[in-house]
Amino acid sequence: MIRLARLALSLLGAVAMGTASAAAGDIGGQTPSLVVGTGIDRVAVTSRFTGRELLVFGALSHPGAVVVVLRSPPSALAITQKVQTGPIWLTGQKVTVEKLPGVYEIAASAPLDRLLPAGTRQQLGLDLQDLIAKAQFEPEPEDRPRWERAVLTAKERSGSFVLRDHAVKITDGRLFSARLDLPASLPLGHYTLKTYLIRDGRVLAQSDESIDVEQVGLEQWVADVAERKPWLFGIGLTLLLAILGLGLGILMQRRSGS
Amino acid sequence: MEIFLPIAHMDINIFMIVAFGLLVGFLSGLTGVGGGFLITPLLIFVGVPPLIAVGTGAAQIVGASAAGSYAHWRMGNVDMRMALILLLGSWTGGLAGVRVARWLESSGHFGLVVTFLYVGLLGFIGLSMLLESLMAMRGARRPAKAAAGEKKSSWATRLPWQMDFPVSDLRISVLLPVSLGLAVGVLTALMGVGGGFVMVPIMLYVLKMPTKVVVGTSLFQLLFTTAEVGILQAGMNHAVDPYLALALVVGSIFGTQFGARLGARMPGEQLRLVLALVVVGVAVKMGLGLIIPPEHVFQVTRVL
Repeated sequence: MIRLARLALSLLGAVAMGTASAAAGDIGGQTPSLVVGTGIDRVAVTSRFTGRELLVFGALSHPGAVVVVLRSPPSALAITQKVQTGPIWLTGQKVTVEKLPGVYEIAASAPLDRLLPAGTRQQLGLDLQDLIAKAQFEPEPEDRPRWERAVLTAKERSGSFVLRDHAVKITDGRLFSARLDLPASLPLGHYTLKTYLIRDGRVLAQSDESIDVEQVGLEQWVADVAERKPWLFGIGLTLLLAILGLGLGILMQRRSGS
Repeated sequence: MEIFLPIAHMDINIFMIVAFGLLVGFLSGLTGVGGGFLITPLLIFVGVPPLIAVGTGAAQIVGASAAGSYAHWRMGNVDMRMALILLLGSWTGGLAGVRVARWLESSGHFGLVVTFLYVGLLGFIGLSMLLESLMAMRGARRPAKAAAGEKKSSWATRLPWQMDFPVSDLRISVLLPVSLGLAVGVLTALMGVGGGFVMVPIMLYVLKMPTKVVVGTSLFQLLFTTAEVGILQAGMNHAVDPYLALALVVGSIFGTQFGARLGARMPGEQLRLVLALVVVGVAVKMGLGLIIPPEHVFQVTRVL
């Protein structure tokens, strides 16, 4: 609540500031700035979590285009290629991809290639191909560009990598809002949310936010034990299954016997 | 109700998994044949990664067979000495199998190997059940296999390490139950099955154990074999999903009860025919998966 109130106040401030600079006629004199809010700074993942929407909104001191970038911690993935041998499809090479964010979402108010030159896009991490090109492939495949395209396609298909032009709505040149869709399979940890105010091919202002994605409750405990203490988890679950099976089985036999 | 599976890393409708348990338990109760070999393919069909389908399939058999094993043990239908020697083999086979599964998974071939194993095994079981029930329904008698059995026992009696099994009233070489256990342990680890369909016929026709103790002893040993494999699959391969396993156990226990009640009032041969058709159908579906071009040539898998 306090967070929202503070955000509303700073939004008002930003709009007032923007009006002042608009009266001045140009950017000159006034430092461009933007204020960004998400309403949440934490996403709680339970076993019922099947994805959610993340609303990003804020105010701009100067008119311009807005780009929002959400980046998760890196998450390794493996990718295999199916090859046809006679009538049968076999599994061919397997490549592990590391140093690549698990989730990467870009929302922009206009097509990115019209907003920024290629060099700036790569520098700011707004180029998905470039992001994958910088990832580590193990073993290094012979036809790397083909594998990079495959990784991008797979990531886009699962909703983990998203690039949407026209996904940021700007109202009156002062207020903006964007919706990002978080997929069900989220790497846990510290996410960064960067917002850029862009005009004439240059970044005028930048704002950095962060969101923590964490598991909560019993689910968190189960997933944690399964991940960190797999032997204890295995023994515990096996005992639980045996007790459940024995208990239910005896219960059912009693009922049918009586 | 969609839930997110922490090990399989996917969304699934948990009621659908309970329904799988019910269905397979129902068939199992109806026919008396364990249903482990149907659970793993069903999980693979709905998109669970093959290694997790296999690991979870083995773990859920612990729950599904616990009550039955206990009942047989109480009634004195378990040849404990035989069971322990079988376990010596099956625990070794299980450990070896889980290591092989890990190696296959890290090279990316596990899914393919499992598919081949299932097409072969289910095809074989399904077709032999189909033939058997068709012949029985026509009233034809199966030719007695006494002659073949005698030949076997002549070389079997010459094997070293002969041991007495008073409960089964047998004297055989320890090598026979150990190697039988070994094979079943590998099957449990690589396919997520209990292996009763291999164990029971061999106990009856090769080891010549009395019918009374065959079911109890095989159930008892498969309970502890699947328990070992479940623990190893979770510990070494992170391949047992808790929510999947619990849902399957709950479903299959209720399903088995309904099936057993209904099965008592229905003709056995027709039931076996139905099960045979289901098994052949699953084998055909898995086999088609090898031939039909994949939707995507590149596929994302787990990093082990």
